[in-house]
Amino acid sequence: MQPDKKIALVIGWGSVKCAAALGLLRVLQREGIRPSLLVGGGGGSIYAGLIALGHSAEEILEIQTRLWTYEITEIPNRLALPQLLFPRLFKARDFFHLRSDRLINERLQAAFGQKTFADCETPLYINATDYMTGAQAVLTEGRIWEAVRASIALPLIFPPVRRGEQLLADGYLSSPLPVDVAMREGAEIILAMGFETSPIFPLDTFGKFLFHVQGVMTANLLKTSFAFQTLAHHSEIVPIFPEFDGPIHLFDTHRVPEIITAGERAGERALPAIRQLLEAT
Amino acid sequence: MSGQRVALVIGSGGLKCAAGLGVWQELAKAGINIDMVVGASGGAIFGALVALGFDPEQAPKTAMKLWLGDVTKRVNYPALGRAALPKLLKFNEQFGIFRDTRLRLGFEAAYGKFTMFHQTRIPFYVVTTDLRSGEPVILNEGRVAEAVRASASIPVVFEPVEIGGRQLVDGGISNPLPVDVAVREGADLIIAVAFETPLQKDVRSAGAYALQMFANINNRLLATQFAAANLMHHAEIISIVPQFEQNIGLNDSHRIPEIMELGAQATVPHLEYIRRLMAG
Repeated sequence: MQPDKKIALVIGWGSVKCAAALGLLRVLQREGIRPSLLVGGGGGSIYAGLIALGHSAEEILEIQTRLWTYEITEIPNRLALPQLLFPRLFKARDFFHLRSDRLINERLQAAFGQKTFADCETPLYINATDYMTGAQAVLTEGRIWEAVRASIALPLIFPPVRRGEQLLADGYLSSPLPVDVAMREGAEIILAMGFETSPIFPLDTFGKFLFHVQGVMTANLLKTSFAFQTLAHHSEIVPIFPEFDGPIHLFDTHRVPEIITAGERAGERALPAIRQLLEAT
Repeated sequence: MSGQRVALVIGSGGLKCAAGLGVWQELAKAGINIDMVVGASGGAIFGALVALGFDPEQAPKTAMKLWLGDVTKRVNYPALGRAALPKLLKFNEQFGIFRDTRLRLGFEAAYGKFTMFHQTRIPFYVVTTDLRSGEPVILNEGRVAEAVRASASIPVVFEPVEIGGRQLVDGGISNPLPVDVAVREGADLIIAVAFETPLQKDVRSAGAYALQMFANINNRLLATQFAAANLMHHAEIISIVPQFEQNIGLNDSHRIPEIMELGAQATVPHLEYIRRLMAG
């Protein structure tokens, strides 16, 4: 059942939770539904990129097992502490970040190679944010791994990416679930996979406190943007929000299998709505 | 004038929110009365004066009394100690770099320590955020000074306030321009005073980098909520966005008169339209 309707698959911000997109992809594959465009932001850009290149859910699972392991967020940036303590001395060198991006860069290059947006079977849009202005920056050309790297540049964790004049950081700052990109590209049906931010509890370190506050703002931004986009109603949006057993935090890579299952369940729940939209004339 | 209910909504924005008083003065001069006030963070601090029925002409004087200079003078060393040695000293969510003594003193002096919400001249709604759930919490009962203090708990800067078993912080992190509250409370005409969070020019230090992150999310949240409120269009919304050429710090209370003047200036172009709306 592949109608001529323009279907967008949007995978929003949610770090390790974005693996749920694989569960959804399995459901779509079973049903023979192929998105006509892919939009990704944050962790979602990894999956959007791999799907756009034409990989199946099973292939992506294999790629992601090698790509996203515990260590990628574990290598400390040795300059972070000196920068924090002596900001003047270390200022000019680099932007502040807690984790080294060496391994994540290697892994992304291994996963995407030197493939560019032009190599995609399905058009791909990756959402990032211009850190100096807060404006949305939708990436549509160049190497995919570099665009993904910009989109997952979680402030304070990984350094931002320079691209020409722009300083690019995580897409969630401008649009946590970039449904707006799919609308602008003329999608008629938008499958929007989004993720709620899990509150951090207890707040027993300053770092947790800071990330929790950031998470609160992001969660409110997601809710508001989604309400707004649904209200604007330029296209049909099917919200797909996987439910997890208990909170899943940024670096819980060991929970990927259950995350995928949750994504599959969410996809199945959304299926009647998707079918109905596909069949509607 | 007609029976339209007019709400003044003052969004979050620290000391810049004093511009809301300038807006109020200008409206009063034009004979436009306010029927309810909604405020988040700094907007609640200054909005309280409107709700409590102060004389608009006296507002600058009262505002200076309300926001004492040097609100971030007294560092909360025990809290910093807990941040540095979280396990040993047991870091918890009661964290703020500065003591709130001067903030509280100002609020209590201006509003009266025991002034309650039911004593305000017109309905007053204070927007705060539940720190744990992240949901907005609207306060409309109890002590005004306590509610405003909760709404002013800028995370990291001042510690949360416990009210009704919840740890409440800055309303700005969940609802920076609470137009929706005025809509829910039945306002027909909403005058919304909004403030963007200034962006950093140089983000190479850790602090500036973190501030930029919060500024970006906050501005986006403000823009999106405002767009959604306008789209729903249950009420007429007039947005007033005073323009600031310089950054206004939390300790710049001596600049309140000039900040108010900017609010007044930003209001003038809208008066004609507001009058027309009120004439129906």
